[in-house]
Amino acid sequence: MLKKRIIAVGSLLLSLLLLSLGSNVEVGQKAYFFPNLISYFLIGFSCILVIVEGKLFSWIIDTKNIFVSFMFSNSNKVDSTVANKRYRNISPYSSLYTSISRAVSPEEESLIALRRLRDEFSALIPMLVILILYLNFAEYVGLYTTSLIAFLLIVITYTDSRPRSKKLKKNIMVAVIFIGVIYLVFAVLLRLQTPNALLI
Amino acid sequence: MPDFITYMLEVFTAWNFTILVLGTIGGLILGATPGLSPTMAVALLIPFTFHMEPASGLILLGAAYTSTVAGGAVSAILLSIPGAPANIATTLDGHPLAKQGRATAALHYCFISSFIGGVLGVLVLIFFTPTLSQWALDFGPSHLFWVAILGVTIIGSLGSGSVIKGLLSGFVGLWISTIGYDPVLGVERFYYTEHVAGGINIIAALVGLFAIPQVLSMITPNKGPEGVTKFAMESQSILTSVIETLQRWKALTIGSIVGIFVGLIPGAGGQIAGLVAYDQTRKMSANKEKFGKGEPAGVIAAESANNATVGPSLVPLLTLSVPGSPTAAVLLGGLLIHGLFPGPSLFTDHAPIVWTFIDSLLVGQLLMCVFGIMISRYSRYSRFVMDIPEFYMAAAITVLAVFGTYSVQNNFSDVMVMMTLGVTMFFASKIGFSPSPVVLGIILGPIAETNFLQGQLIGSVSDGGVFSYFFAGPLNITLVAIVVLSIVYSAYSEIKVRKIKV
Repeated sequence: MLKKRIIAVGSLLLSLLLLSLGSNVEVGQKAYFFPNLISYFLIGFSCILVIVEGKLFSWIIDTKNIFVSFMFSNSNKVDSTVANKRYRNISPYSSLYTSISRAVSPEEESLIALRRLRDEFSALIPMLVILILYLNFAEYVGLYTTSLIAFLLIVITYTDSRPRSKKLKKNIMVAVIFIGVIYLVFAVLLRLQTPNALLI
Repeated sequence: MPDFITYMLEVFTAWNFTILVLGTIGGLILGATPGLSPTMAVALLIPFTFHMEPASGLILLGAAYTSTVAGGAVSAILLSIPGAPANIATTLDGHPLAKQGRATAALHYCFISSFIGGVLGVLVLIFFTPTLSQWALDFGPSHLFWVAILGVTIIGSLGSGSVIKGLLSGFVGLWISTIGYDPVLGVERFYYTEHVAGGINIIAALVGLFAIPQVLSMITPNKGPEGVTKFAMESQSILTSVIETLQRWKALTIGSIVGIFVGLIPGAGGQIAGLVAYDQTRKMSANKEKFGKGEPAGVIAAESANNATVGPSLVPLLTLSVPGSPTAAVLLGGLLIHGLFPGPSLFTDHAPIVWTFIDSLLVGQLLMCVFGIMISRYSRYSRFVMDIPEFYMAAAITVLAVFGTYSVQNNFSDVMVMMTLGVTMFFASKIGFSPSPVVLGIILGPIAETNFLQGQLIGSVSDGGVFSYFFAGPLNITLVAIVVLSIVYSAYSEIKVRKIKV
């Protein structure tokens, strides 16, 4: 449930951000009519997502329960019997914790999904670092050279042979052959103009 | 003489035929490689077509589309790993057949039935498209606007797991398409970084959204099944396979008909066709209990259905700009970069290109069958392709995506945009959003916006006003009704499935 709520609220925030990007402009306000119209639809869809998948109503009830518990457990002026009659499902002191946990604590399913996401993300970090370095250095070092290095780095990082150096020679050979083919196709056949850089 | 016969010879020019053969063989290999979907294969090929004549470029894309769908059956049968989602139903009986020592026969059934289904599908494309495009001549800006919205909503609602997430993705795609110059006032919108100056390049978006998420999922842990069984390949004559396939005419007919109808429905695609055809064939068979244990009719129904979707999925694409499948959506990008805008004018202004492309699909079916059967003969060697470790695939696709995107405009900003969209889409796919509606939104966005603004201008000077211009008239009402119906029907189906799960 927590995961679904985060997704729903996240999409609502994204839709609002897109609308604000198209609303706070100094020049050519008219040109933003269509993107803003789309943003309104996005907000509408996000609201449905919040209601349907984020279980907005149960969320509101949970929040109300927390609020009521908080109010009645801290106020001496309110007759707790009256309050209990009115809100039968709430026992002022003990229900506060239950209500908060119902509203915010992740379920087993969400926890597993979150754990899987964390594992996948940690496996991705080296790849993301390689991609960032690849794209940032390609223009200055040379597209073919950085491609060769990036190819090699990806293969060495994610190879299933241990130790990683075990198949290093084979991996270098594959990388050189692959980039050689890429060079033949793009530089020789398609005559691609690569950015001016230190190397090729 | 019918147009498709007039332009048939164009397919057999030396260059075009070479492209067709290379595209077919390459497509079969790409399709047989687990993890490389037809959509991604076509997306990766689009940058290459940019440097070709439009007809040759489209021939390459069409050949790759046809043969990747069929090629996916090779790994489905030999490894029990569908090469593409369209081949899921093929694994159900294809792999058990292979385990019984009839792998060659299973591959023969697959390519022969793919050929028959594919040819019937292309014939539907040939005979339906001109009629539909004549009908589309009556479309004005308001209709074209609704058609663009229909494309986004249909792919969003039918082609995604969640209706609301599909719609959100589609509309995010529409919003992304508005980055860059406004089509009427020429104002540069959302210019926050130099990388998006001039807007989002369609190819960068296509490659990024389809290739990069797959690259990233290749290197994430624990995905594929382990312990692939290896078995010897038997020899079977092609004539025997043809006779055995034709003997299962019921499966072949059901598969082809289901494939054609599913292909015509925008957003459905080969996966649904394969599964529906398999299910219907099993239900109508006298040997229901044999299905799932190596029944040839299961393979024949699934494969004839998924290849029969190829032609019909292009009918709404070429006439109304509404792609029938995610791969057709990528093909739409391929058409647009060559300045070919789908619609009625396509068959009058660019008839030689379009008919050469359609004819190449027909010839491509035969080549796919011939080369597919050859691959079955040497399938012990084709295992080499299927056994390529995923880290090599990931590295190769990453480099290919960078070069492919850069080569379109010699602009490194496109590469940055491609990678950003791709990485973002990977994380979005983890929370239930799919790339197809986003891509369609980006592609159809300019069509929707231009026609919306034109309609607004026409409506503001007409008697009824803007609202009446967009919502009155039988065609507008029909299109709006289809948009609403597609959303309501998908939402209803989703709620029904959820209730069953509970």
